[in-house]
Amino acid sequence: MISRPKLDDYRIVGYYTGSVTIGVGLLMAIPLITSLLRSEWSVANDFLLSGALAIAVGYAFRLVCWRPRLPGMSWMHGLVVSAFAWLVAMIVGAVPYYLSGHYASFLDSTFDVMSGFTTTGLVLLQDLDHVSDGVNMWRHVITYVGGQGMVVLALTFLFSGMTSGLFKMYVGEGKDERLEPNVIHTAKAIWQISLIWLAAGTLALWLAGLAIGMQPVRAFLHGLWVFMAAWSTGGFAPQSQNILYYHSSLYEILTFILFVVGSFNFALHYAVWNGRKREIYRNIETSAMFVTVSALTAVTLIGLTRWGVYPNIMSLLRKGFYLLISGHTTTGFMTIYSRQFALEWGDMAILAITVAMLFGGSACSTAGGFKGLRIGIIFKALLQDIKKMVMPESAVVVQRFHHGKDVVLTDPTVRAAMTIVVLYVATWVAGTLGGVASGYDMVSSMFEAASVTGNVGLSDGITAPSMPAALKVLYIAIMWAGRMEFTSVLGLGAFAVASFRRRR
Amino acid sequence: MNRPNGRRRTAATQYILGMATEVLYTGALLAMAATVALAVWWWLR
Repeated sequence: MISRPKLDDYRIVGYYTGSVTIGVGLLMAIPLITSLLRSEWSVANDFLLSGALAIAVGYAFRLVCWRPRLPGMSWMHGLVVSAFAWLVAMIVGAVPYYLSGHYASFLDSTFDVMSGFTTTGLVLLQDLDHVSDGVNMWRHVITYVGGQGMVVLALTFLFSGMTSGLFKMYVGEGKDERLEPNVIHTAKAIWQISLIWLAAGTLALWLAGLAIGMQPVRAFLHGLWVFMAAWSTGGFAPQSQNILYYHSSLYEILTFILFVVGSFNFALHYAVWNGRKREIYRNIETSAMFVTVSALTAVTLIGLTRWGVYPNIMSLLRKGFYLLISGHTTTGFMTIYSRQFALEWGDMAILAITVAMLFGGSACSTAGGFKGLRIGIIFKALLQDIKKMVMPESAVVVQRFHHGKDVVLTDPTVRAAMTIVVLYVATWVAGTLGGVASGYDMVSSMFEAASVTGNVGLSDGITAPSMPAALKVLYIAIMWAGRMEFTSVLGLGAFAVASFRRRR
Repeated sequence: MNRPNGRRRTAATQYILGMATEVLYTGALLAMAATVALAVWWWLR
């Protein structure tokens, strides 16, 4: 039983949450500078006000909670800080959105911030095609930072003096691999990989933008934003038609490469970048992804061909395969209109993409879903059970998998993987139920719920400003819980329940 | 990382090789999808 939190426990949570909030405020300098450079004065004013507010709120948290000798951070604190800081960041991050006048309500603004931070990519913003460059920059910075982990970003780079519980918060944010023994070095390695890809990806997309006739500055901004959304498997884009807007196969190929690579485990990037290139085909996650993608590609393409959706093999690949991988890597880039899923695609292809969205990318990446690691582990466990059945009773069946190194499969590993998968499925069912209860049909509700649970962002039209407020709140909760891989959110829930327990 | 001739690769070379390996994986995925698409098209049409 969790004991009732003491005053110092609240202080620890408040203090670190304040630090993250200051980090969010400082991050608003990027859209602020963008809007100043683009002569968007009123937008700059919005970001100045919102940034100042976030920093003030952060300092208020820190002032109220600071004590000369705060006790060390426990696992519970790490998890609670991660979950709670994301909620506070959602609220302060929504202020510039709301001030922009593109949202029907503050709830819609918070929905879009959570969608961004969790790298989901669903949008309630209205009139996206006429949004200022400053707001567009904020949307994409949110999704880029959310993908790498904002708690760790704030605490590693802004407040490097307080590192005692950093690894606990790092795990709380849904990342659980140490690339280096020191968590600060791990976070820096993650950011180094992301920033190098940022430079290369933006350059490639900028050139692609120029090639299709965009103005240089516009091509650069679009390249940068689309890179951020692709790499973090976010799915935002600066235009309402998403990637369809560009009508460019070059743009589609580049974004395809970026979101597949973005869905890789950072430990895999680290291994490959340090000379262990064989890891890319030996790793259980890339192998699992190859198998699931192959099977689901077959199902999707059979479905689309049977329904006669696309007239030739190129458009079948360009639409069917692109959208399947966009869903599988939990990116959510679209090259068709939302309602085309519901009205044109047919149930077989929709089912394949729904399953792909639930499977998701790799663990310790920017992607969501069950993750390839867990699918691989469960498959190996199944294999082990079958071997046990067919071999003599006295035989000892040892199953191994390769993830960085050869690992022997143990029951606790399988149990942990199973638990998370069961939680994902239960959450998906709850999301589907929410959609059905709000009056949407079941297939659409299942599709949208999978998109929300796996932090994907493909939409078949349910997510819109006119959807019921209760469904918006449910989707926000699901995006948040899915991104945190449930542990931190359950930790925060247990912390909150224990707070109301009577003191003995 | 040392090369067989004993000389060290620079970090930049390492990163470029790493990125190229990752891009190759996406190429393999694309090749697989093209094969599946051809098979499905040939089978159902």
